[in-house]
Amino acid sequence: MNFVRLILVCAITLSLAGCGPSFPKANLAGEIVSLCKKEYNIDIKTEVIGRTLAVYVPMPTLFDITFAIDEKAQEMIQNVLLAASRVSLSTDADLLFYCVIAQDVRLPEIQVIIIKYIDDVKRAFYTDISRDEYFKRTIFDININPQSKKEQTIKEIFKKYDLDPQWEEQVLDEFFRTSPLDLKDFGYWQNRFYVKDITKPEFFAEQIAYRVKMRMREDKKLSEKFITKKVDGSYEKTGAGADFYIKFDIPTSDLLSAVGQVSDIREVFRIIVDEAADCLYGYKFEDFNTVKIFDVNSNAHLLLTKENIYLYQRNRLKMDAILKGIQGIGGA
Amino acid sequence: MKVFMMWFRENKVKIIILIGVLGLLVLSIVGLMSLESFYRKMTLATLPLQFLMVGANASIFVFMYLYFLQGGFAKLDKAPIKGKDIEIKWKDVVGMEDAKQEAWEMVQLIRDRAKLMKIGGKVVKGLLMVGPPGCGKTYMAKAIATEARLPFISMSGSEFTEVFVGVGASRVRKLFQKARSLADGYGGCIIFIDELDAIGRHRQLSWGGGGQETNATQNQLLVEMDGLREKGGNVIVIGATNASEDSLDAALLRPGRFDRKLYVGLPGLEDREKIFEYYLTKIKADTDIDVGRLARRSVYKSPADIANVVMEAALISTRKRKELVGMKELSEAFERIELGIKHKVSMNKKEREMTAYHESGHLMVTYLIHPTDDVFKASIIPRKGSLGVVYHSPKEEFHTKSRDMLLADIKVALGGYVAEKTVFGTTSTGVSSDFATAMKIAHMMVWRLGMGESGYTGDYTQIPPEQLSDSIKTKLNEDTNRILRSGIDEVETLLKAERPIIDRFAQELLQREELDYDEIEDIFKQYNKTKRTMSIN
Repeated sequence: MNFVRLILVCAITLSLAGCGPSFPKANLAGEIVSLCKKEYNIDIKTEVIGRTLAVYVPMPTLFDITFAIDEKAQEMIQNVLLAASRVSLSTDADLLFYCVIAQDVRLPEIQVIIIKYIDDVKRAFYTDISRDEYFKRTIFDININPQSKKEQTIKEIFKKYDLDPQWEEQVLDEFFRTSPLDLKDFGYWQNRFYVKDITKPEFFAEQIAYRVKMRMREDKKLSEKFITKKVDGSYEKTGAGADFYIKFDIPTSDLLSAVGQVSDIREVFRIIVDEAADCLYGYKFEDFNTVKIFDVNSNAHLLLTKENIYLYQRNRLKMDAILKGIQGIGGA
Repeated sequence: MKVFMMWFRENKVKIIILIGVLGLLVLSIVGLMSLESFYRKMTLATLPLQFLMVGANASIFVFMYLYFLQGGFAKLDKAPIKGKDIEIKWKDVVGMEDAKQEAWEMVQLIRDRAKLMKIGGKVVKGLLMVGPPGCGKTYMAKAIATEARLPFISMSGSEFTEVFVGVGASRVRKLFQKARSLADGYGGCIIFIDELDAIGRHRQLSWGGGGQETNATQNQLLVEMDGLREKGGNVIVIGATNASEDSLDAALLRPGRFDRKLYVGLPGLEDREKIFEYYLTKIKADTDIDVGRLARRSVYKSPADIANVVMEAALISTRKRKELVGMKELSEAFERIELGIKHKVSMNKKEREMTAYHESGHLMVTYLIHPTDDVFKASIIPRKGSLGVVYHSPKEEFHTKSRDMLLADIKVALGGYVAEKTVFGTTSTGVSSDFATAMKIAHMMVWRLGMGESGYTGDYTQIPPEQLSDSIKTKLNEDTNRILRSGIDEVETLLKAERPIIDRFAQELLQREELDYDEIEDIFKQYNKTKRTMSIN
């Protein structure tokens, strides 16, 4: 009996010890800054936009001479990601995503963007999802800063038409320095975050596109047959319901084109269906009707219903049966 | 203060454990507090799993510990056999009539245990069977179990002994536990412990702890046997040993443990006949086999030896592709078991002749002088390192030997030497073992049995040699020599007188290499010689 009491006391004490967040939401942005400074000696800037934590990491050297990410930069990014994960997981702020933007201070026009869904981070810690799946669920992109592009364009217009430069800043501020509408427009430019509050569906849409791109590049046979030029994912909600749109521009590779061969586009559809099903079923996401897949080159398209995704994931529907639904290509 | 100290001493272990647990608890809390909230939550969230894993690990450890250390070594793999399944009926126990009669009483006591208890009689808890090996102790125990219709657990004393102290005792506990459980179910159980001396020898105190395991095992056996009455289980322990009763611990032999003692000795002539008859029914044998002669030939043989002879004869018969086992196969079986397998050793003519005369000398003396032994075979085929052999054995078992018998044994041993000397005027190394035998007997007669002629009577080997005067030693040695000398003279006279017969036997052996009982008898008959028989005093 005494032993039971002792165990009970232990359990209660341990439970109490688990109470209270390590990084209260009141000073969340400041907490991560001081954490990075204290533990990794990295200066960062942060901002919380809705349920998204944005982190900017300026780096002395982001790319090496081969234009690959520098080893030290990789380490810094890893440390910042770990700090962001720690803070996001040990706070009472109701965060859903965090986005780390890394830039070379000498070349801020090029940036590395990493977006993580915090629930994925938590599941990875608990080994609830595999490491491979965790990486697939992380959006990683290297792009030219969209805001810098915009501002460069406006500046060129002012110069070209010999407009009064005193209006340049005002025009930029009023019309072009606004929050991004899309994840593709994310960035940090001139002391300002261009980050919006990320929603789950748009993250999933972007993730599907990202997974497809990765798969097309990593699969040697596919990369020999096709050139992955572009894959866009979006989520649109209308009065009739919500749908995912995956548009792709993946033509036959130049090598095959040169000898007059055309790769079977069904293979691309197969990859997209597979990745979309994996992603949406993996998150058990149900707020959508269909996934509409478009080939921008041939106008071939496929309408993948939510039911078919679930049946496919449960092995009750074969891929070939799904692919029979492709319209707009010969023999479909 | 004293009360507190007393309380502390009594609860020392508990207090230490409590302090340890509290210390670990505080450390856990401090550790958890230093973690970020997510890691804290993760640790707490995985706590049930950790408890589960620790529980599983502990269970595996305990299982392994119990299996390998407790159960594994002490485990008792003895499956009990039900009495009716043993299938050794009372009538199958042949050739031990006296022992059977006593054992039957035991069966009656086991069967009528309830009645006996009602009238307040003493319940027999243990039966100790003592006797030479191969005399059917185990067989008898099985027959008792069959007749008593009780389950039977058989173990050897050596199965209790183990290098780990306590394992033997544990096995004894488990054995009795099992037996009690069976006794509850079937109304009784018989435990048979063969080679009881392995655990039943006198307990000894050893500073090195050498006998500790045996002592512990025996102590447990004593406790369990004592406990039988209290627990009411009808468990009967039958122990068997071929060691002397004196070598067993006195505590084992006292009433309440092995109450009854049964001597299962070597079978007599009639018993041997019965045993031969019994085993011959188990094989396909000729109907004209002289069982009496087989019994006479197998003096001092145990039932197991007899069974072995019959089985060996069956093997020889099979090898010869004969359908029935005959007297010849049985005779061969005797030879193979007693004399060993024939070796192919090539001897030169002279050696063969000397061997033939040497063996003929033994044969003649045995036949014409030895009062008790029959010659069953003479051979000059090398066996067991000797170039020839004369196989003789007494017609019946004797428990003592007279002076005449001993002198006859000496003369038989010297027969070979005298024959060689008489015929060839010289002797060979073949006499060494004969002389050893003769000298040993003569020495024993004079030094230990008071059979010397100089009047010194008593066992002089009991006196330390340094306390014996040289004159006594000389006298005794002279007596010994005199016995040998007179033996040689007598044998020499005999062989010289019967030279034609010895020549005949030597020639027969050189020709045929082996002579059997009938052939030997036949040759002696041709010379009007009959076997000497004398009254044994």
